[in-house]
Amino acid sequence: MRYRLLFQDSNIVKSLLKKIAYIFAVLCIWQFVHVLGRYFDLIFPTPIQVASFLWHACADGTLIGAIWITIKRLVLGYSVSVLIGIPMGMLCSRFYILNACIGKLVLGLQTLPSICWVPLTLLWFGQTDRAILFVVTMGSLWSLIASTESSVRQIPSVYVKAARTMGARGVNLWLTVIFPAALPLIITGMKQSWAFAWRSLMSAEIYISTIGGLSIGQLLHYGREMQAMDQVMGMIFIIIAIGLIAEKVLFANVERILHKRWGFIKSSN
Amino acid sequence: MAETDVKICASHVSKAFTRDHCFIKVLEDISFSVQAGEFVAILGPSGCGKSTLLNMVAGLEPCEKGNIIVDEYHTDQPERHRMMMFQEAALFPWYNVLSNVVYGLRFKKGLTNTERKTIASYYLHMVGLDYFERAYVHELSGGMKQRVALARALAPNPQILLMDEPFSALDALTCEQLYKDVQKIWNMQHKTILLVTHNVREAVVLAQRVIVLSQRPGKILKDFPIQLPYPRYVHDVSVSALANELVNVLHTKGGVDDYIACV
Repeated sequence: MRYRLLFQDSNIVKSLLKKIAYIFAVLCIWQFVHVLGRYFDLIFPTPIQVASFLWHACADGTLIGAIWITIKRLVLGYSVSVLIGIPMGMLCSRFYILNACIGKLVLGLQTLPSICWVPLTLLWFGQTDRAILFVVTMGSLWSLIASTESSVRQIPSVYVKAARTMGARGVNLWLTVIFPAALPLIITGMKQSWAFAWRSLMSAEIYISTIGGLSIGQLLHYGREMQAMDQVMGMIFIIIAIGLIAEKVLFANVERILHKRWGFIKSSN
Repeated sequence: MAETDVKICASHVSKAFTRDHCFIKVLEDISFSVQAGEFVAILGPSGCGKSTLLNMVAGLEPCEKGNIIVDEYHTDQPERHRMMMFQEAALFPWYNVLSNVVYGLRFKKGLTNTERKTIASYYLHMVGLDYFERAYVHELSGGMKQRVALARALAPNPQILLMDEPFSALDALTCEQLYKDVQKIWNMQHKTILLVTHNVREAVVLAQRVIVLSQRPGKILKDFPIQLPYPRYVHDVSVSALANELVNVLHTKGGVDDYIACV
């Protein structure tokens, strides 16, 4: 037992070392290209310059503040999407008439790039937080309605039949059988919708500059205006990192637990 | 037998579907009755509408022509006193085994949650799955899943058990064991059981009476009594003899050419 644990640990260390070596190699190539191409620092900064920008931005608190503001907007806008989108999708799958009425509308709005909402929202809400939240919600809501609706339609009909013979009706049937049966697929739809929300937020933050604290998108935008390419690249790294953390930590774990329980993948022991 | 003993009474039931502008007749003029405590099998080739018939008895599908009366009531809604088992176990993967059985009692009023759990445990014990209460559905074998489904169907203490080919996806050895168990439970509890199957031997081993349906549109070819003593085994010579007789009925009268008998 002890031996196995140790063995597993050393495996983790090994793969971690591999990853660090890989990242280091990429950074070396980056530095090498910079030196070889004799690029201006203004146009193409070195990894050390980007790292030093990130370090200073962390130290004076701008970065932490920006991350906080951005995450808050993301969570708020996305929560509104989830609270409206999932019930709406379920209602659409239940009532044919509702689906016939708004189904096409949802599909249409889903194809609309979220940046297209910006002119409209600027006139409606001005340069405010609400304008940004509106873009985030519009960017993620429609895909969530569409995916929830199709998730519910894909559940095996035998679950519903069995539940009905056992006396489940109406709301009870929906809460105890239809929703949990569709849950793994709904989560997949939520993941996609989260990615849409994240993209929408970044476009909204670049286009809509609000009064108050700086956000990640704004820092990126100002980086361009001030010709500070180290800031632009640094913010791109931060945006990638947040996206990865949400995907790998949040959704990957939820999906793993669901799939293990629902039996889509066999548990390892 | 007295009129009051009739549990299920179907008279002149017909059913047709319209699919892709095609009119498909599924069942034609089906009339039969099942006595209380009787074990009846409906045997027919696949696609003859026997599952549709069972769904109508369960109240999951409306019957268009004719009527089905259970306990003097029309079957337009599913009820807890007639529980159903399906070809797939149809267990809910988001619950463990015990909670799945408890689900059958969930909407039964006048029970506390502890009572529901006690009843569920009792029926899990009856189907021989005492040690699997905490297991998840995907951890069970096919036969175990159907046992859980059986426990779940029995837990609300229904008077009627409807079985829609529940053994057809299982291997032969598991089937044999389940035939024994079902006979034992039927002997103990005296439920009225209506079993739908395409397996001739299965019908002969389990039922007191086999209603043979023709190919689509399903008509009753013969109402065939099986007067063999219980417990019966699949490999009994008498079972084989009767199964052969039933296969002959299926072949001669219905003109079932592409039907492969499972004997």
